[in-house]
Amino acid sequence: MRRSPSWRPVLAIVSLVALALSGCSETSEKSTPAAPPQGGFLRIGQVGTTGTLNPYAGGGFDIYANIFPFLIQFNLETVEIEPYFATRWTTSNDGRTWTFKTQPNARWSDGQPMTARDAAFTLNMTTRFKDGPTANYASYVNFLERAEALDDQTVVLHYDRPVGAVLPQAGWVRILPEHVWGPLAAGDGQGIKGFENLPSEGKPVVSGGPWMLTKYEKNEVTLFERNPHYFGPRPALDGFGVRYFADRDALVTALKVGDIDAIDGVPPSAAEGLKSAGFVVESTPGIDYHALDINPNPEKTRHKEILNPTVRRAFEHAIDRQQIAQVVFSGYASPGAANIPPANGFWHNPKVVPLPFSPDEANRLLDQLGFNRGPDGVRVANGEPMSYEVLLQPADNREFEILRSGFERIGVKLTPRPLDRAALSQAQRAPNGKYLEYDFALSRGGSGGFDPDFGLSTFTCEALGVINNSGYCNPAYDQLYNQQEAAPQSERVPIVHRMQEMLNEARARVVIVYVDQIDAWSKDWSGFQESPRGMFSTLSPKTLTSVHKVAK
Amino acid sequence: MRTRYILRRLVAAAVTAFVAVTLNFLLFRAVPGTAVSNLSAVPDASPALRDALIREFGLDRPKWEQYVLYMRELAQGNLGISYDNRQPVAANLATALGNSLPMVALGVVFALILATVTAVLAAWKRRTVVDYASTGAAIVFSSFPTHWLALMLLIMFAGILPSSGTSDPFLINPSFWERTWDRLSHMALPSLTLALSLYGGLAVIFRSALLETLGEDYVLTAKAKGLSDWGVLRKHALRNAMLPTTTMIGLYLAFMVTGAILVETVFSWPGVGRVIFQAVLDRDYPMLQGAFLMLTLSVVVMNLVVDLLYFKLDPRIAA
Repeated sequence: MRRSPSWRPVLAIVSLVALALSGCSETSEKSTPAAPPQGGFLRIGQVGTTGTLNPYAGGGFDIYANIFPFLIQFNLETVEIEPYFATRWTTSNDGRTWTFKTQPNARWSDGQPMTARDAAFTLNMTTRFKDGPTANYASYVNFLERAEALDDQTVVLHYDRPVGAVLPQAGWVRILPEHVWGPLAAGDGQGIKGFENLPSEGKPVVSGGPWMLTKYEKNEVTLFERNPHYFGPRPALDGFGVRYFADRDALVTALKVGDIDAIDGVPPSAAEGLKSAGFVVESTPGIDYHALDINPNPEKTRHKEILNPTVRRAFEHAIDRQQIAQVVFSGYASPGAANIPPANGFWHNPKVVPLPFSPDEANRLLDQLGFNRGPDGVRVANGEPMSYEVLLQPADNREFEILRSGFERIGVKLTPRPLDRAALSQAQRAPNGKYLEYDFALSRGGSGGFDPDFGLSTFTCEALGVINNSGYCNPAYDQLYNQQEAAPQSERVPIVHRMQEMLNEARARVVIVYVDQIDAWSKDWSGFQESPRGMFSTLSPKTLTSVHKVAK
Repeated sequence: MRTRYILRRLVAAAVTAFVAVTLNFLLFRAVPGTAVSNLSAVPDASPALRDALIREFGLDRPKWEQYVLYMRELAQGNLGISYDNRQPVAANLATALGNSLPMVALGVVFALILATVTAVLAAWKRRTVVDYASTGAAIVFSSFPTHWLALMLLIMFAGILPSSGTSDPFLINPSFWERTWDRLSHMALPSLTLALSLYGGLAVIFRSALLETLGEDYVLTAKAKGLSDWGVLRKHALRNAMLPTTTMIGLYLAFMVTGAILVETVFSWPGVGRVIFQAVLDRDYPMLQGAFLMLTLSVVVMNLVVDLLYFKLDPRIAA
């Protein structure tokens, strides 16, 4: 019998080919997503003031993060360190030498080459003058002896001891163009701080980040344009401007009437109103918190009962964190306890949790200690009424009222003493940096960035009188701090977790709530990458690079 | 006689300025909190930063030495360097003054016009509904908290008039008229707020002065001679009522240099008022000393000008 021709193998082959071709086109579509619409100028509003355009003279950290590159950057979602101007790095076995490879063929916005020599220059200048003009970056170059550029793509950092936290410290120094700043670093470096670093004669500030600064009017506006020579992903926007407002109501009104397109830092009370008005409102867990400092100084002269750990536990039971989060922050905050917030990812210790709001438990603890109530309902401890003054900024008054109500239920009287920030710092440290007088203070703190190093440093003995407002000083804690600074990145995490436990046990600073970062924008725009510090951020140069106008 | 009068006034002005400068120096250092405690509270601050700031600002020297240094530099026209941005105080103040003066001047002019119209109307139609309504409105506006008034106007005119800044920074290549209109429209709300909060006090004083003048014998004589009510007001009463009002106008003009703190805050106007407010928070002593020196000199000069104006306005003084 003659067999009929079989079409099945041919059909199978054709089907396979067709399947393969469709898979390729899908892969092509996935590997090259449609580019967002290019162009457009975004107008951002923010409450605050501009500092200066000179990184060594003061504030403006969010400006520098967008115009000057760093060696490393942080992934906004995982908090992991990623390459930026440095493409890769290695450490010597003894931890004292770090070698970074930098981006090839990079250029500053004026077209001059941007090389490892600029990184070496910046780090050496910062190190050389860290007791003078560059002092505000002194902690970034701890133990750094010198930076050496071996060639245009290699910079080597030499330390006088093993340092594990090099990436979040030296890796986070804003790299400056040597051809601009070199002459200022001559001699005693006194020219460094006085340099205004302004756009001039129609030329922008020499920049190396995704943006270049083209216009600056102090406390009014800063304008940025896309840097044509940026080595990273090309931003979709032509540019953006940041307008500075002194009043929150004026800021919100400006968005509603279309004077601006976006707000970096929406006041919690305005968020729902903006949503109802048709704006996009996004909140991200922040890296900042509100807290109650309880003086831990054993040398304090009055009210020594507050040094008792049981008394401190009772005080924490009297704090209604949920009510503060709902009433003061309109729900845009979450109760917390650890000094490194959850927004810091794996650095946060999840085992450190707040004590529940329980006036009954607080009363039981204080009754056990024999601190009975007087005729006015206020408990008496060591012959003195448990009546304390709380130092606070006027803006924290609502928070104070909730605290006062909770403490009243446990027979403790609180009275407010409103002060502005500078006076409050001084009052906490009084007299003369000895931390003898204050009992309570409503404070603010945070991790300071994605890396916990700064946040942890605010509790060291060395930081007393500088940025340590609570007065906490524990040699064992300091030892751990030094250990985590020297340890390789992977070994730092358990040390950092232990430090949070120590701080929680001491209750020198009782974290109340972690505050969300809230941003809002018009629906005409899209592509914002949220960060715990907002869209115009000190934490990453990436937050605005994908922003674009919505295609209509 | 006149020369001696002027010389006496000049010497008094110089002494006043010296005392005010010294008091300024001491006063800001008596306020709790220091510039260092503020400026060293930055991310990644360190003891090295605090020590460097103390040295840089000369705060490690005894107070008397700081005072002598300050007075010596002042005598050479050097107001010092701002702790905030490390730029000359004079340059910072000049920029801020350039922003404040036009806005405040417009507000003061509006206030003067409103006050004059209110006072004249009230005096002319005294003890009628017009008098009670206009005087009542003046008192009500002067009792409104300035900050609240500013916010109300901001909300009322949202979308109609700009609510912040001195100009639209996002305007691209504007023509001269576009830029002028832009600046004037930005100035409208802050100037109007200032005018409404200032005119009330001035109107009440001016009205009282007018009523007192209208009760004089020479006014009765003028009426008896057949002069109309409006003629009496214009030719006799207004000029004589200007005397007590001139002092107040002089003070208003003197205080123009300090801007208007609350108005500038609500409307985010980068003027002297806002600079002073921020300098207080930052404990920026050189900026505060510079701003208050500017105010002191302005008040002293305006007082002198007013005193000299009295020669022209009041023949009794020259005699």
